[in-house]
Amino acid sequence: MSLSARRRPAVDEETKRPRWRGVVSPGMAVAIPVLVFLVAVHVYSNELLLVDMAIYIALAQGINIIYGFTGYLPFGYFGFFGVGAYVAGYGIVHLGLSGPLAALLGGLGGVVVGAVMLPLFRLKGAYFALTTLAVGEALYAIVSNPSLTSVTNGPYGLNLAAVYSSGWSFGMAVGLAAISILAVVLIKNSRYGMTLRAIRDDPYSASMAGINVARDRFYAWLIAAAIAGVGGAIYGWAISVFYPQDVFDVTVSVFAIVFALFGGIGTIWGPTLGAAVLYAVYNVVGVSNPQYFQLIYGLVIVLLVLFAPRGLAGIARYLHEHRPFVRSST
Amino acid sequence: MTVNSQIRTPLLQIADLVTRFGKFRALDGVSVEVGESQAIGLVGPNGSGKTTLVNTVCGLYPSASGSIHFAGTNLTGKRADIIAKAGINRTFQISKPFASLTVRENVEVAAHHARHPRDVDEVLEQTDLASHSRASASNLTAAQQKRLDLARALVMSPRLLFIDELAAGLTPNELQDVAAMLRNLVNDGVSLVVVEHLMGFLEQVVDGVYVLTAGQVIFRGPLRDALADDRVQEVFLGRNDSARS
Amino acid sequence: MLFEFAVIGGILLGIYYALFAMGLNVVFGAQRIINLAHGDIVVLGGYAAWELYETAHVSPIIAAVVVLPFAIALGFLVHRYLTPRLTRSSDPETLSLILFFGLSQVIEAAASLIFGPNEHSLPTSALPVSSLHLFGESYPGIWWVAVLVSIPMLAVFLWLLYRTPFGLRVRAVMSSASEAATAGIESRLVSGLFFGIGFGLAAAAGTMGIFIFGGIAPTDGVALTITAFAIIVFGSLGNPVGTVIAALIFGVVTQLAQVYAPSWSNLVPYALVILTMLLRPQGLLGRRQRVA
Repeated sequence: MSLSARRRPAVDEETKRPRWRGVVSPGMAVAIPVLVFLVAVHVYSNELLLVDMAIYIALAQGINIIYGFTGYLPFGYFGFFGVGAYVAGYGIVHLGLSGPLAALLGGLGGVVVGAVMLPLFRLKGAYFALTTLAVGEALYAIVSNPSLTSVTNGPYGLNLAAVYSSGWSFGMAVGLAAISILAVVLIKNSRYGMTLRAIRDDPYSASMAGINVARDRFYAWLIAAAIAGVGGAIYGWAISVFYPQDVFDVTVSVFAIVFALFGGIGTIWGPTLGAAVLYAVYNVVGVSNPQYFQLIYGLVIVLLVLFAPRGLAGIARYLHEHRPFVRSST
Repeated sequence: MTVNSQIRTPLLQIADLVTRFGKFRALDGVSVEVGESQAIGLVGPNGSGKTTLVNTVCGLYPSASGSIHFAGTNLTGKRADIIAKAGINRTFQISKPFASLTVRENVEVAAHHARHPRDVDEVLEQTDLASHSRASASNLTAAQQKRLDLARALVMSPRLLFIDELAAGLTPNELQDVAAMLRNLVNDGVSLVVVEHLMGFLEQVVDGVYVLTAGQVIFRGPLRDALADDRVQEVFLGRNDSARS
Repeated sequence: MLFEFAVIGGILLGIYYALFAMGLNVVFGAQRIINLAHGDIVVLGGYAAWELYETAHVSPIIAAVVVLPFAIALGFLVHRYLTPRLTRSSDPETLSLILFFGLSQVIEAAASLIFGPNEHSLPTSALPVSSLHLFGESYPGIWWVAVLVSIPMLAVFLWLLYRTPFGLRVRAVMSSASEAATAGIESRLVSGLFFGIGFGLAAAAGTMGIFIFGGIAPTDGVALTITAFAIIVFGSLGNPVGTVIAALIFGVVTQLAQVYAPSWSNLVPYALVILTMLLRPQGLLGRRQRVA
C-alpha cells in the first residue's frame, strides 16, 4: 500500500514514465562520459587520443545541434575548427594569453565566422552544405596562403609548445565535451528545442506560429560554431605544433558528421557513443591504415542512409519496440 | 450609426497588391477590405490568385507593390512571424503540421510565441483534437491535420484568419460541423477570409465574396449576386456563350 | 602578352572544364541530386587512363572513350539500387548528399587501397603533341588534346540531348523532378541512363584530368567536386549550355589568377561558389530555381 502510494506521484501521467528519468537520465548523459574520461586517463597512457576523442564528442554534438535540430548540414564545419585553432594560437603567441583564455577566444573566433556566414541560411539544404564547404576551403586557402605569411605564418603553421600543458588541455577537452552534451540536453528538453524542431519540420509554418525563424536558427548555429571554435583551440593547444592543413581539414567535418549520424542525430547519447565507438575504431584500424578506416566509414554511411537513417539510437529503439513477448508500452 | 461604421477603417485593408513571379503577375492590383467580425469568401478558378493573395498577406511571398494595413499598422513586407503576432493567421491548402512533434506540442509551440496565447487544451477541445493530443502530428488523417493547422492558428488569438480550402475532402456531416465552427469564430469576433470551391459551404459561412480571375478582383458583393453576375459566370463556365443554356 | 596567354589558355582549359563539370549537372538533371562522388569518378577515370597506358600503352585519348561504358554502367547501377530508397525518406535531399558522400569515401578508400595514397601522373610523352604555338605563345600540348577530346564529347552529348528522341524524353523527365521520381519503369530507365551518362562524362574528363591537374591522388575528389559544383551553379543548375559558358569564364578567370596572383588562384572555385550562392543563386542563365 505505502509502496504504491509513493510510486504513483513519481509517474508522469502524460508520458507514463517515471518522473525521475526526466532529470537523472539527462544528467547521466553528461556525468557518465566525464567519469569514463577521468578514469580512462589513469588507465590509458595515450592522453592525446583521449583529448581528441573528447573534442570529437563535442564536435559531433555540435553537428547534432545544427543538423539534428535545424536540418542544416554544414560540410564546412571544419572552418570554425581551424579558425578557433588559429585565433587561439594567435592569442597565445601574440597576446600572451593562457591556454584556457585562448580557447575561449577561439570560441569567439568561431562565433564571429558563424555570424559572417549568416546569409548562407537563405540556401536550401544541399546548397547550404556545399557552400559552407567552399567557405571552409576558402578559409584554408587564405590562412595557408604564402602571401600572408607575415599575418598567419602562411603554410608554416603555429608553434605553441611554450604554453603546452597536458593536464589543462585534457581537462578543457573533457569540459568542452561535457558542456556540449549539456547544451544538447538543455535544448532538447526546452521550449527552444521544440521551436527548433518546428523550424526544421516546416520553416514557414513555424513563422506563422510566431517563431522568428532566422533568429532562432541562428542561435543554434552560433552554439555549434562556438563548440567547434573552442574545439579547434584546444586541439591546437594540445598538439602544440600544427600546420594549416591539420586544422582546416575536411576530415574534421567528415568525422564529426559520420560520428553523429552513426550514433543517431537528434538524440542525446547518439553522438557521444558514435564518436567514442568510431574514434576508438579509427585508432585501432585507422592510424596505420587510414584507407581501411575510410572504407569502413564510407560503407557505414551508405548503409546508415539506406537502412538506418536514425543511427544506433534508431536501431536501439527499433529493437526495444520489437522485443519478443513484450508488448510495446502504450 | 451606419455612416459611422462605414467610414471606420476596416480591420484588414489590402490596396493595389501586386505579386510577381518573374514576369508573371500572379496578383495584379488586388484591393480587398475585411471588417471586424466579418467573413468574406475568396472565389475564382484555379490559378486565379486566391492562394497567392493569402501567401502574400501572410508573408510567404514578397509583394512587388501595393500595401497591406491591419488594425492600424502597416504590415506590408513584414516577416511572417510579425504578421502572426499582429493577429493574422491561416490554415494551409496542404496542411503543414510539425511532423516530429505531437499534436499538443504543435499547438504549444505556437502558444509559446503568441502575444496573447489561449489555453492549449481549450483550443484542442474546440478543434476536436483533444483525444489525439499525444499522437504524433504525422499520424493524423488529412482532415485532422487541417484542424491542427486551425488549432495552431487559434491558440495565438488571431483577429483575422485565412482559411485555405478547409472543406476539401470532408463528408457532408463534417462540412456542417466545420461551417458551424467557423461561424462560431465569427460570432466570437474573429474575421475570416475563406478560400473555397464549395459554394454551398461558403454560403453558410461568409457575408460576402470577392471573385478573382487572372490576379484581379472582378466582383465584390454578396455570394448570390456573384453567382448571378455575367462576368463571374463567364469566368466559371467558360467564355463560349453558346455553352450556356 | 601575358594577358593574351591567360585568356587563350583559359578558353582552352574552359572547354575542358565544360566536359569536367557537365557530368555533375547531368546527374543533377536526372535525379535532382548533387553527386558528391563526382570528383572521385573523375579520379577513377584518371586511374583508368594511367592503368591503360602503363599496362597496354593505350593512348589517354582512346582511354577517354574506353571508360565511358564502364562509368555509364556504374552510374546506372547506382541510380537503380541506391537512389530509390532516398525518395521514401523524410529529407531526401540532405540524405542523398550524405549517401553520395559515403560513396565518395568508399571510392577514395578503394582507390588508395589499389593504387596507394600517392599521386599518380603520366608523362606528356603519352600524348601525341608536347606543345603547340598560337600567336607567338606556347601552350602545353595537353590543353589542345583535352580540347580535342572535350569538343566531340560535348557535341555528341548535346546532340543526344537536343536532337534525339532519347534526349526529348530526358528533357521531359528533367523538367519535372517529382514526376520523374514517381513515374513508371520507362522514365526510370531514361533517367537511369542519363544519370549513367553523367558518370561517363566525369570519367572521360578524368582521363585528361591526370594531365591537366598535374597528376591525381585518391584524396583529390573533394576539391574536384567543389570545382565542378562552382561551375554548374555559376552556369545554372540543370542548364547544360550554362555549364559551357560558366566553364569558359571559370577557365579564363583561373588562368588570369594563375598569371597575375598565382598564390590566390586556388581560391577561385570557392569564391565562385560563395559569390554565386549569395548574389545570384539561380546562376547566370537561370530562372529562379528552388535553390534558396
